[in-house]
Amino acid sequence: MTRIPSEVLRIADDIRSMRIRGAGRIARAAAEALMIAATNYSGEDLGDFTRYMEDVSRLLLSTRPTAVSLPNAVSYVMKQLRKDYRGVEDARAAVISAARSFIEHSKRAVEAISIIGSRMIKGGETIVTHCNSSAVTGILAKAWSDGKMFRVYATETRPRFQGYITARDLASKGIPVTLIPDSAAVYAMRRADLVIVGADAISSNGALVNKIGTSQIALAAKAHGVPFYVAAETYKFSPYTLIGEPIEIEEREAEEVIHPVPEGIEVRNPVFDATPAEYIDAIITEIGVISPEMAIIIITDYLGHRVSVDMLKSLEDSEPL
Amino acid sequence: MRSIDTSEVWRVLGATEAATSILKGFLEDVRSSRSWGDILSAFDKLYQACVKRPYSALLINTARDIFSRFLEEAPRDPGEASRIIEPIVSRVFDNVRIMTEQASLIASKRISNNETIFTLSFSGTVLRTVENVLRRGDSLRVIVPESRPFGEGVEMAKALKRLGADVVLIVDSAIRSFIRRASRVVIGAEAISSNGAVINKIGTAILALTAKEARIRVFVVAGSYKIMPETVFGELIGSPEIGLPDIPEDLLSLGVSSSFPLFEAVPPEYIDAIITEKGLISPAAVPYIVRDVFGSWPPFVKRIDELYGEIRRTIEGAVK
Repeated sequence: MTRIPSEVLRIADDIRSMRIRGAGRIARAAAEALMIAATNYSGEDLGDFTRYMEDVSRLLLSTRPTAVSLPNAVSYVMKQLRKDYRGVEDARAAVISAARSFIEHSKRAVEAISIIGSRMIKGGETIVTHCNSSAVTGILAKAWSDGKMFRVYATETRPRFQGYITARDLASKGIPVTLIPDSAAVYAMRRADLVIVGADAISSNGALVNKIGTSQIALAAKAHGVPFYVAAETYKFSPYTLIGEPIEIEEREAEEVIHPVPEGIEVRNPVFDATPAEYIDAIITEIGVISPEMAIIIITDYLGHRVSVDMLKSLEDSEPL
Repeated sequence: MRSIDTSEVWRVLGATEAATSILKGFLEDVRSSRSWGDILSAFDKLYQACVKRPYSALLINTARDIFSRFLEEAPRDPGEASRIIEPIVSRVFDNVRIMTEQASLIASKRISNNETIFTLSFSGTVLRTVENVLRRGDSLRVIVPESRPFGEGVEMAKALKRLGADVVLIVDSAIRSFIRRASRVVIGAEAISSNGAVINKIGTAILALTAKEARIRVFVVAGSYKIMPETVFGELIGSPEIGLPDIPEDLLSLGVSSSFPLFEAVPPEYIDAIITEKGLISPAAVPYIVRDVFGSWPPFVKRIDELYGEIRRTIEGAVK
């Protein structure tokens, strides 16, 4: 059986260690890893090829538990292997073509979201964002290049300061950015006209899973009557939640928060939190703006996932190694 | 804009400890005064400390007390001035100790064995409350966010651990994720305004809002010296804005700015009770405490800048 190529191992490691981060980038990297794995397979046996590709999938799925874009990307590509093929060459071609089309679609999705989302900015606003999302920076960059003026409050986003990436992306385009601590959610909301955040996953009832701190910003926005928008590609919607699977909230090591960890103190470091649908005014996807409660239509009609025992089976199959 | 010197101890200590250390410095300055000029510069330093910290109720209330008494007593020479000031300051220290003790004792009665409470920033009064609970032989678990950018929560976590509490440290963003694990929120205060709003470290407003959403009670523990009587007459308690101190150079050169207040107001509707040495009250009942402390409602208080102006004129007159 062919060994997993080192380049694929490196991608998996980069996702796990967060050198590759952000739900969209993770999904594209996973599709690329599957493409590389398929290209590098040297055997002749179709069954062996399928098992090998499943090994690669499990490796990729084991890297980060929360981002649903990862299993969505993997299942988009691996779906191909459920069909019948004459030999390895045909199966390989199908896998590579699906991976390419996923990557292409993902890139186009951010562009489409940027155009749609930018229409929702009138100009003159103070906009709050949290963490770093290429869909959000895409929207803001598009609106700015269309000549709309606004300013952005970006939270620094502890423990890993992804707010710096957002600030860098926006400021380099000339957009005025003010960095604030995550604790300043209420202060920011008293000055804000709009909140836009990205998504790591969206559940079938419209709840948003995103960087820790998102849900309290959404609560503050609700309390202050500030619209709260989410920018999310359709592959961020989780079909697994439709069959009751909760989205697992990844918890990372204490040293990310404080180093060294003070003796005897328990340091907790969950990476994401869940924002209820009632705090979300709209989700901006590449196929249109929807209310969060319509997440179901994305999952069933657009992603085309059916609720079936098959899905439960594939979930079990994709348990981490 | 960055009027708060981030190198000073102020940021790490609780409100009471910080004000106390400034007052101790003032006392030292007064003691070593040889001339009216020395006395005036000691007063000036104290007044400037108040101007820089419009949110520090203990500092401003004590300064007002010192300024008024000084004007009433009208000392004839610098030595007499020092003899008048010393007992005022030491009485404040005694009062603070007694009031903190009383308030924290009352608060500790509302916390039962094996509870998990949520707190924020560094507060000596909350530490005393926790100590009172632990001294009964009860155990207590405390969740505390780190408090960026200066890490007062980390200092609080260490201090709570030293007292023997179980401590959970989280990032400030994780408040809503952890609030349901606590049975109540117990925080200190920098200042309390006449409508029952509480001024405390940035992050307190989102903590209180989150607690309200989760139907978890919010208790503020503070000696009555934290009440700002000026607020009765519409004075707002300000907090100068500062910037995050550790933004990477490349971001600054791109023009990225940073501005936020170190302290913020929590509206009274997010607070279930304010616990002072006089007892547990609803935030709406703060005027009742004001009447008790200042002798009347509305209270008779002079503005600190007016008092300082009078002192300047008096001392300058004495020098001539």
